[in-house]
Amino acid sequence: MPLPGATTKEGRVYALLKGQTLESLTGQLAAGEFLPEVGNPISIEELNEDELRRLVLVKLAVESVRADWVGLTS
Amino acid sequence: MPLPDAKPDRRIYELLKNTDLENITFSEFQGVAKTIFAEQGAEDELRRIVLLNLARLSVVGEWTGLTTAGGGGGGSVTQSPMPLSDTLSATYPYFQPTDMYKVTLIDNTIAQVESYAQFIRFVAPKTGTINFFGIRTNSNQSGLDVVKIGIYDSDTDGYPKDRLANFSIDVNGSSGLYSTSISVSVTAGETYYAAFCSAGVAIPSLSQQANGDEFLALGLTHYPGTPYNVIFNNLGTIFDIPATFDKADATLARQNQPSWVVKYS
Repeated sequence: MPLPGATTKEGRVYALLKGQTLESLTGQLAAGEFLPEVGNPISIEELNEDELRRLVLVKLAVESVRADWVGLTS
Repeated sequence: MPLPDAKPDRRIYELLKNTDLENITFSEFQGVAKTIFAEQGAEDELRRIVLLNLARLSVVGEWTGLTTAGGGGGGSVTQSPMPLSDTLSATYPYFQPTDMYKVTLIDNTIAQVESYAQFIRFVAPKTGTINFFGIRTNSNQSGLDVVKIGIYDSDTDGYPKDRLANFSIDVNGSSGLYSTSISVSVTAGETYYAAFCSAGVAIPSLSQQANGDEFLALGLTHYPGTPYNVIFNNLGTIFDIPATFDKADATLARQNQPSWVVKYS
């Protein structure tokens, strides 16, 4: 099931991330590495709003798994 | 009320059942979430991971780091220890339902123990030494051959590789549980195989699982096609548990397979 109201078409984000687990992506977060490059390029326009949402969702999910967010509460 | 447009959950909440926000540890949360695929098919799970993490952190305390400079944190990736007390959490995170296998295929439902070895995949739920291996019969098997069994590790493609243990269990006698002591070191999350065959033409009949009914989640699948539940060594040597696995001797199959159990020391 896609994000609410999103098109069901599998766009850039999930196509590039196919086969990657959240754990495997935790080591590919630095600038120039795999996950940031998934969003490069995605032009900032309404047409790409679903892709922006998916990119943020995956980023938050990976960061959720990477380590505890101790900095948030201290 | 579920997340908008989400399908009912079958993983996150199931694995964390009876855990409340105040008591859940990061390791427990990480252990459930880390093997989710970053794919469209798992989008509901991704949403639930983010929701659950934010909810968990909402209970931890005020988010002072969110609005202050140099919040710190981050750091290296922490690997969660396996929660040994929770069977679901200890096992399911390592199932990978989209694994691909590319040996040739057969589809039959023959005896759960065959004259040629059949390899059944399993993933070690925790690191340790397996020191007990058991199988079961439903009827008297007197006068029949013993069951030959091997334990294998796996190669980088997920196929069986080298034999780690080689033993047999004599099930001659009335119905019941038959077992033997072994010593095999395994690592949590790694793929292994248990191989079975008869020692001769008088093949015993064991308690079994029909076709792939109980083992579809273990990855022997041509996704999204027919799932297969064993690797069958029907082109190899008869009555043999080979020292090393050879793809040229094997096919994928849907077969009845013996029910078996292991214990850790």
